[in-house]
Amino acid sequence: MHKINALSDEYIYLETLSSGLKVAIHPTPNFKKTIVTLQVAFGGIDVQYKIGEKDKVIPSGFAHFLEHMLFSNDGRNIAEEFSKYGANINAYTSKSITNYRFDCIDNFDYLLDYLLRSFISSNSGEQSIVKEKKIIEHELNMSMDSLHHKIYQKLKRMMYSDEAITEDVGGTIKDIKSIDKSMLDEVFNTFYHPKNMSLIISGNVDPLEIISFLKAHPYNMHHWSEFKKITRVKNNLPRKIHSHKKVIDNNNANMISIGIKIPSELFDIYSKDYLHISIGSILSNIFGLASKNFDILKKQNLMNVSFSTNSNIERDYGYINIYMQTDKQEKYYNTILKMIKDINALPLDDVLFEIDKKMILGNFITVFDSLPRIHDFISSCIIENIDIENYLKKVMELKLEDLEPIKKIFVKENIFVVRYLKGLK
Amino acid sequence: MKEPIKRTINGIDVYYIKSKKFKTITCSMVFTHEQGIDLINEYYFLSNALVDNMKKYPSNVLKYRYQSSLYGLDAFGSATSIGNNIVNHFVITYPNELYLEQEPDLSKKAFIFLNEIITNPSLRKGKFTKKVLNDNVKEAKELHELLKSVKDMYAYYNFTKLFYKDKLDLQFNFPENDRLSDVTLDTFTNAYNDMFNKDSVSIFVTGDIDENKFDEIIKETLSPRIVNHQVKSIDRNFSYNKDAKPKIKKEYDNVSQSRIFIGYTTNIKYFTRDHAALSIMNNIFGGFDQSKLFIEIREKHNLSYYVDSNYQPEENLVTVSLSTSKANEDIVIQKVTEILDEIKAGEFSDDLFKQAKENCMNSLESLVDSQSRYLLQHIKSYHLTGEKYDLQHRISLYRSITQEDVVKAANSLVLDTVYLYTKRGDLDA
Repeated sequence: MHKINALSDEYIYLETLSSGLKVAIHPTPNFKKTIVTLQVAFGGIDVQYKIGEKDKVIPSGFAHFLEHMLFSNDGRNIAEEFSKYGANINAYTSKSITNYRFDCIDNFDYLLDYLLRSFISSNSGEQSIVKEKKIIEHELNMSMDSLHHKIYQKLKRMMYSDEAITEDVGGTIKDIKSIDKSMLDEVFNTFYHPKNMSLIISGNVDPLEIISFLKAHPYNMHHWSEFKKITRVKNNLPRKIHSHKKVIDNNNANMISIGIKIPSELFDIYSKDYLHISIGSILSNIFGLASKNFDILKKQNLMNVSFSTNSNIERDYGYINIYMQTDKQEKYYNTILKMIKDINALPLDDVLFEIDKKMILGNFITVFDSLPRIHDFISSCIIENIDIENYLKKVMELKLEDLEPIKKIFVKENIFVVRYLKGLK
Repeated sequence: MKEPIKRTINGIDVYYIKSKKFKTITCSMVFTHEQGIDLINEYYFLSNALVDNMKKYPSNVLKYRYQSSLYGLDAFGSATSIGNNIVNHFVITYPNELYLEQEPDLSKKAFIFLNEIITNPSLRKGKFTKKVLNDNVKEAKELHELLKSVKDMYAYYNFTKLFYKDKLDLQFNFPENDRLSDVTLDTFTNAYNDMFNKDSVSIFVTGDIDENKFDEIIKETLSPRIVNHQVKSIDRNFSYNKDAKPKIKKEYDNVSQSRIFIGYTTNIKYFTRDHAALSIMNNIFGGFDQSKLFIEIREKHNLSYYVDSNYQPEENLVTVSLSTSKANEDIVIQKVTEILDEIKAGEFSDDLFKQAKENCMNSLESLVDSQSRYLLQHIKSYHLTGEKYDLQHRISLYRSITQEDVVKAANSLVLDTVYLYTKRGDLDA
């Protein structure tokens, strides 16, 4: 077992079991709760892939549907069982992962055992399949009511031609209806292999005891078939569409959403942590609360509480999203676009760059005060192969000139804009 | 976490809640006003205006760079109600200097910053400027516009307006959008001055701290303008009428799924044993994924993606929230009524009762995993009861609750409001 020091008195224990399951344990002896996450490198983007030479295509929304189905896998009722033992269990599917998480105060051993036993094989009941299809239809209909969801989807469709990226994680109702039991079992066997999964535990636990428990567990001892490398097939051909789009709809809000596409070649050159750190640093320097641009936008009355910036860095693609709801569309649009294009043309604010490092250090310390937040951080690091031990060191050692190659993404060909304007259809 | 240590410094009660497990320190200055709902917008604006309008740091660049230099010190203000008093909290959180090299004075700098926020805003001739007031009004309006674009939140907002329609003296929406233009420079500035001339003040500090060191910091740096006054606690007295006719309203928008909110009033008071019984009842009703609402409406009949119930003890309110297709609206509302009637008749399993009780107790036990949640309970408890929040006593109350107590609590619920946010269609033609 590898022990790493994440912060002065915080340790994380890493181990890979004989089955291939990666395990990270973060003992937090003073916290009441324990949180456990089982995550699978299977998400909304995995709809077309190769296993060896074999091409596979599955319906959109498959990972999300399977996540729903596994709550009743093999006639079990996971939610009911966990409730019986005073625990909460939930799950979510993103573009890159499926994540099952429970938290408890007592009965940890029993619950961990039950969780792992539920993921050894797949056996979906026909009745459950029918039921979950109905529930997911409600879920998808609800997301159609969200203007934010609509504008976000439109922006993604402008940036990418690959439907695996542009489609909602939940898929389409038509695709969901086409899923059957045999597909579920086959896809489970492909992706839910321990070598494609990881287990993260944070709480009042003893790492040595857990590792010996896991080593002897039927999940680890199970005779798993050989894991075959899964390669996602990318269909991202260049798009011949507008990079700026105005939609006049019967909205009750004016919204503007800007996407800055991170060129795919950067994913081959840089590690995920480097992309997170460098893009985060640039965004903070240009649009953070302490940036000069934030003050300029505020003084010109172009800033309001809806303004947000975030970077979405998925398994093999990513983009930055800058969003605001504003009635001053034209002026804001021109101003913010100039600011974005200036990122590549002008030097970054070196004073802010150094001050930000203190803030990042403070925020890193603060994360350890919240069990869910530190657990999330460790989970992301494990699935993205991020070196937790040196994460902070990398931030502190980052130099302004290191950001120069990343600044180059802020150029016209990577910038896409969708504007939703109030009005009647 | 340890029991609070109470000190009195310059006439102000200071509470230290020590815990070795947290790596940050949170310091909260709490101003309780005697003046009530009439000045709700003024107090709401104060919570933002003081934090965003510091004389010493007149721009975002200056202010946030200083906060970043204090290792990302987070500062915010909020306005809430405790009982029928409005309370302004000004809170700072920053990493404990124990985890930082060469920063022995971070707590002192942080406390001085908190003092600056409260006592040294940018004023002109003793008053807030028109710009500050206008910016706050503008921001409140923008927030309201934002709310409209998120249909679930907007529907819930409309539900609360309907719920409080006949309880106007108890409605605490921060801000009160219909009265934004009533705020003047004088009422706004007077509300600010009242913080120093009329309000009661207390200070709460949590984290791995040395209380003696903090005593010294407070004595040395607390502004002499911050003075504690006696303020009468005002209880919230909800009218409660078992025979009241429910308010029912439908509003229309272009939505694929109808959002439905059903509000029930109760006469059960906060921090009582019955409060514990109603919390457990709420869990049985719709508080988790094995609750009666979830199992019956989502799992058995697949009528909804989400359905839950939520108990707000300070509002004497239990709310059921759900989404469904337009065609199923009446069926779902009927099912909610039937399920509540079943609980009122004691028709719930021993297992469900046991699970619901355990959920509530676990939720209480895990309060100590969050500095902010634990702190807030203490602030409320000192205000409402004059006593510290006794977590073990609360847990023992929950442990003592029987199924008969739950049935009694369920029977206190009276249907008050049914609100539907739906689309126009054939069924309404």
